[in-house]
Amino acid sequence: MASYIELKDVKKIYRMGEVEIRAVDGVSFSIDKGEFVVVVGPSGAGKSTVLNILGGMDSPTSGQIIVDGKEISKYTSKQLAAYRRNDIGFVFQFYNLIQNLTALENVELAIQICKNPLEPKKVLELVGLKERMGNFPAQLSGGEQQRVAIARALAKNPKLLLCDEPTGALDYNTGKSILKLLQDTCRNMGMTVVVITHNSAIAPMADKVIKIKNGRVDGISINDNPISVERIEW
Amino acid sequence: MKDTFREIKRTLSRFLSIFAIVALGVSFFAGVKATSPDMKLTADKYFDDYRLMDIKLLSTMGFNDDDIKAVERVPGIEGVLPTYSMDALVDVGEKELVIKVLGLPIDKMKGDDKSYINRVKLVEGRLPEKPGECVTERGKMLNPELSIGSKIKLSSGTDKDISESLKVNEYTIVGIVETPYYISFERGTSSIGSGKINSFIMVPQEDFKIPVYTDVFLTVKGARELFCYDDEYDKIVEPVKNALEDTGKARAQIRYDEIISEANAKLEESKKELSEGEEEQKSELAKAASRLESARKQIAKGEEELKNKENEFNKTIKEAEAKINDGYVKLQEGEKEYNQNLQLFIEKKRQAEKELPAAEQQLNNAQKELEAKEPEINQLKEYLAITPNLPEEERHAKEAIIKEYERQREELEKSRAVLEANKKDLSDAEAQLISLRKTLDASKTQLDNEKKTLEASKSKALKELAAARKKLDSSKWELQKGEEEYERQKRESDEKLADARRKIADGEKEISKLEKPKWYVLDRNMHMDFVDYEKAADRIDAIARVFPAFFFLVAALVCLTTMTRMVDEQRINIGTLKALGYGKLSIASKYLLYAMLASFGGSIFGVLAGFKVFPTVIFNAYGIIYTLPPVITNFNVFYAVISTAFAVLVTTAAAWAACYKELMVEPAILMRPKAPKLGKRIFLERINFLWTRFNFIQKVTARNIFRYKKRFFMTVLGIGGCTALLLSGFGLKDSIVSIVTKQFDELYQYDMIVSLKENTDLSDIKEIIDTFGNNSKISDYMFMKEQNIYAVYGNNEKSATLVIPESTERLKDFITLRVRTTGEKVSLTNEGVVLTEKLAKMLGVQKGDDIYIKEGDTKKTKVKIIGITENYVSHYVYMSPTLYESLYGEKVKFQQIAAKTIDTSEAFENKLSTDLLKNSKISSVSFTTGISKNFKDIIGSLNYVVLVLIVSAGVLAFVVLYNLTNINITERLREIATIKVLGFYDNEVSAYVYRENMVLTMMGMALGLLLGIFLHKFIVETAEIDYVMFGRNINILSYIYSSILTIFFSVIVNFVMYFRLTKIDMVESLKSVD
Repeated sequence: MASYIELKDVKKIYRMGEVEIRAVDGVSFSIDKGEFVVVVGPSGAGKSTVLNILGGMDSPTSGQIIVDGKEISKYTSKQLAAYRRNDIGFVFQFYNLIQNLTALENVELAIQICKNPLEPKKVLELVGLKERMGNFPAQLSGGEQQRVAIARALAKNPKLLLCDEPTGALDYNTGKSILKLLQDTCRNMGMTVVVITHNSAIAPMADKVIKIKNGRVDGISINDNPISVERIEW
Repeated sequence: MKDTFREIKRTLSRFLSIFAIVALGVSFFAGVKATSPDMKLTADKYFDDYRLMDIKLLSTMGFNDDDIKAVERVPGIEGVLPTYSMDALVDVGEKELVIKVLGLPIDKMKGDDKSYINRVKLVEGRLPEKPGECVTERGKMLNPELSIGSKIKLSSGTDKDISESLKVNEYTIVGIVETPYYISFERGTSSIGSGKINSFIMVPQEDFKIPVYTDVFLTVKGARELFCYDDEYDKIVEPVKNALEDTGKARAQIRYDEIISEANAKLEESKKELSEGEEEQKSELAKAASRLESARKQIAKGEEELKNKENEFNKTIKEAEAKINDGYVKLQEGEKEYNQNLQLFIEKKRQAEKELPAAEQQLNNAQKELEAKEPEINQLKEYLAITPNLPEEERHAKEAIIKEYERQREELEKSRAVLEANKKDLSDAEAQLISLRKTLDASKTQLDNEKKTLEASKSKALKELAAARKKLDSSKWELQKGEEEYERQKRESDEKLADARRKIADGEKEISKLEKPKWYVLDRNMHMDFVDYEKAADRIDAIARVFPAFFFLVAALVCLTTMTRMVDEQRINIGTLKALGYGKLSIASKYLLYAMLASFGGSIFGVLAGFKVFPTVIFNAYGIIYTLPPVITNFNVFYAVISTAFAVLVTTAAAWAACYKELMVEPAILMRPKAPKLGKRIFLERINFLWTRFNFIQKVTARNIFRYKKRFFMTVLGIGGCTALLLSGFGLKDSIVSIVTKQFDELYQYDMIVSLKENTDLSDIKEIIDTFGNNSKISDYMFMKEQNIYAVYGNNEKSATLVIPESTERLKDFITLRVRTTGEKVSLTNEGVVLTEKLAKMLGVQKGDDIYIKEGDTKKTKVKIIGITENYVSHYVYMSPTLYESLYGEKVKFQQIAAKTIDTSEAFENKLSTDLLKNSKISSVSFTTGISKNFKDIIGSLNYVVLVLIVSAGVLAFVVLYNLTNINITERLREIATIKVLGFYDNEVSAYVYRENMVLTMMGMALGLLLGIFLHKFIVETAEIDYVMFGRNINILSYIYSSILTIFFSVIVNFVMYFRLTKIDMVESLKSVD
């Protein structure tokens, strides 16, 4: 059986005049459905680029990306947009909430365009923000904002939840609780979650750890027994 | 510094948009502002180059050489050009044109004679060189029917022959000229033809036969160096003008005396001529009478002669006839005789014929006997001869025998002779008879001939006699005619003499009535074209007073927004620099430099382009009605500096203010992204019933719109400003255009104004007009009086026209008096006067106030205002005739007729005018169609100016919208990227942004329309010239146009922006944390 997500020799090459920058230089891996995957690697290794390509925000220079049997690497920009709106949920380091909308509204905005969204209020409850639904992002703490961002991503009921350094701007405890939320989501909702981090300490909590270095896959390890976030210290 | 350039390169579109907005604002402001000065400058240069007169002299009696000398002596005068002008008619095709014939001083035109004034600019062809050649203008004269080389024939249009004033009356066009004397299309009015001068021709001055100069053109020393639309110019011309007026008064007296004495002398002469004429008439008549008498005598003599001749003729004929008859009688007698003789002869002949042969027989017998005897005789004779001695007896016997024989022989001979004689006698008688016959015949022929001749001469004589009679008869008839002629001539010469007597009487009366000649000293301010043009330039100036400033304001506002925004974006950069220890100034300098570069560059560009483009475009629009050389676009330092300084100041100050705010903050805070502005509930959310009706996207849009107050206001104000500019541009057009229809179609019901000569008996005129009325050309008419007065209120004094209609009831049929705002009719009663709106406004009076009506310098009359009426052109004070009489204590002397005609076509009006002007009591005829057409021409050009405004406002609107949308998008890059990541399609992303843009545009538009109404009102009121009131209305269509244009620009901008939106790179946008 083919994997749920399959990347085959994906390359992303930027040309800056004479210089050729190989941000991603032949990455191949696969992810199964419902897996919690952590992609680790130093800054500038190309993890974000891989994630962006996987999330349909960017397209590869060459290589194949197959998600749920569809080859998205051949998608047009419109198809990519459709892919993003139906299949992908994004969580960013800096939350990227719309400041002018309340927490609830931010979630609602996302589901305006979805086929079978979840109930925004429930999702917010789920992420523990029942009391703060009517607040604007600026009135929320960083962790809370990230929760809203996760809620927004989840509400779309995506096939794949991609998180780019979700804890990068958060303190230790908050970061932990966010990771917990992600892990729980994966476990409870059977969501496929990919988390990018430079912090290899959190790798043990993943089902699969993909190490990326200089645009290449440095190694893929599978944790048969991922441990809960609470037990990880860094 | 380097950083600045890099920054410019990086944000080229922003830099360019500031550049463009500043350039646009500055060019519009400076350009439109500079237009009026440029227009005046161009005209001034033209006037100077071609020596437009500073002063023009006219006189009721023309100028003689002494007058000219007196003028030349006036100090301050540079050049003097005495010349001639007259009006004439020319037939061109089917049209009859009235043209002004002007003198061209050919002898002065070579070289730079300072007394060659009002020079001509040769456009094509050549100047006239000899009599019979003329030059003309391009516009109206030259058309398919006339060109260089064409001949035109002039006629005077009055009962005087044109040859009294011009040596030549047929002219060949040899060239086309322009002259500063005529820069507009208006050529003034005339008392001949259609009453409106269509064009002019210039002919050699020598061609005129007018005894005195009709016009004198003067230039004033030092005036040329000055700008003629300045007060300085007036100051230098004024004293010369006054001096000329004094000279004029003095010369007028002298001329008057001269003319009087001249006239008296002439009168004397004509009196003498009259008496001479009388004498002559007498002698002539006497001569004629005697001539007639002799003719009569001659006729009598002729008649007698004829009678004598007839008598004589009759006698002669009778005699001749008698003679011929005699002849015939004699002939008859002769004939008878002849016949008798013939009878006799015939008998004799018959007898002779009977006797003769017997006698002959006898003779012959005798002969034979003789002959028989002959030999015997001969023997005897011989015997005798041989026998000489024979006896005597025998001898004797023998000889006797011979003798007997001889005798017998002789006898025979004798009888033979007798017979012969008888025979001869007979033939003689026959011959005689024959000749007699001949004679008879001849005389008969002669007689016949004579008779014939007689007949011929008789008929000839009869003919001659008849001819003589006829001749006599004709001379009798001639005599009769001569007598008649004599009577006629007598009558005629009597009449002539009577006429001469009357003329002398008239002349005497005229001399007694003769007014002093009056000089008119007219400076350029009384020269229509000069003033008109100044007004045109002033109108531009008036429009330029507000419009560009507002325009500039909008541009400045947008620059400010853009700069502020730019500094905001650079927070982190500023923070970093500050953290690195750079001084405030050095950090700020980057932005200040940026702002300065953009605004200064834009200003320079704008100033250069603006000074070129706007004056040229507007001037060319005026080129339709003014003939002037190409515009001189001056670099107007004042406006250049002002606009540049303002533009740079605003932009740089905005940059500085924004920087300063940032620089005050600690670097640490700057380094962090600016705390996101708090999301806030907007007031709309408090209005629950509304808010709940919004769907989610609408709510989002609404909240977004109101979130950034600054951006909201900037956008709405920017768009509003542009819409307001557009609307006021269109509105201005409406206001100007509506004047014509309102004034001439709605307010003026009449079609024609006929001005009468002074002291004209109205009943005469009524008769004349009625003839046209009966021809159904004039359907209705009313007498009016118009008088120039001053309306005075407090210290305010405005010149206006006092109008007194013949009847207040009928006034409404000719002029509508109504309140502009309500349309309510204003009635003219005897209680007071009705003022036109603009006049009332300028005086600052209202209904019920008292004003003074001032005539001349002193006479003041107080009246009450009973109403204020709508009016757009000129100022009027309407007064009832009854009130006039009670105020002035005299009857109204009507001098105008307002009339309605049945047709307003040009052909009809020309015909009517020509017919009317034939009447000596009518001094001028003008039609509202003509006036409104002129007005339309002037306004038409103003329309172009407004079009320039509209186009400029449109461009500004576009740039502003582009810039604001650009800012909007840049500012929200992150947000847009986010929703893109969320999977919004391109069109959904655009819709997300555009929904706001559209709402903002709509709000801006609504505000703009509102603002536009006020701006329009403001502009219209400032742009108005004294004597015109623009309409206060804006057509619905203009609102629609401005709205559509705004939306159109907004759509274009959004369309362009669509591509920017699709190009937004989500990865890049979300990566940067600024």
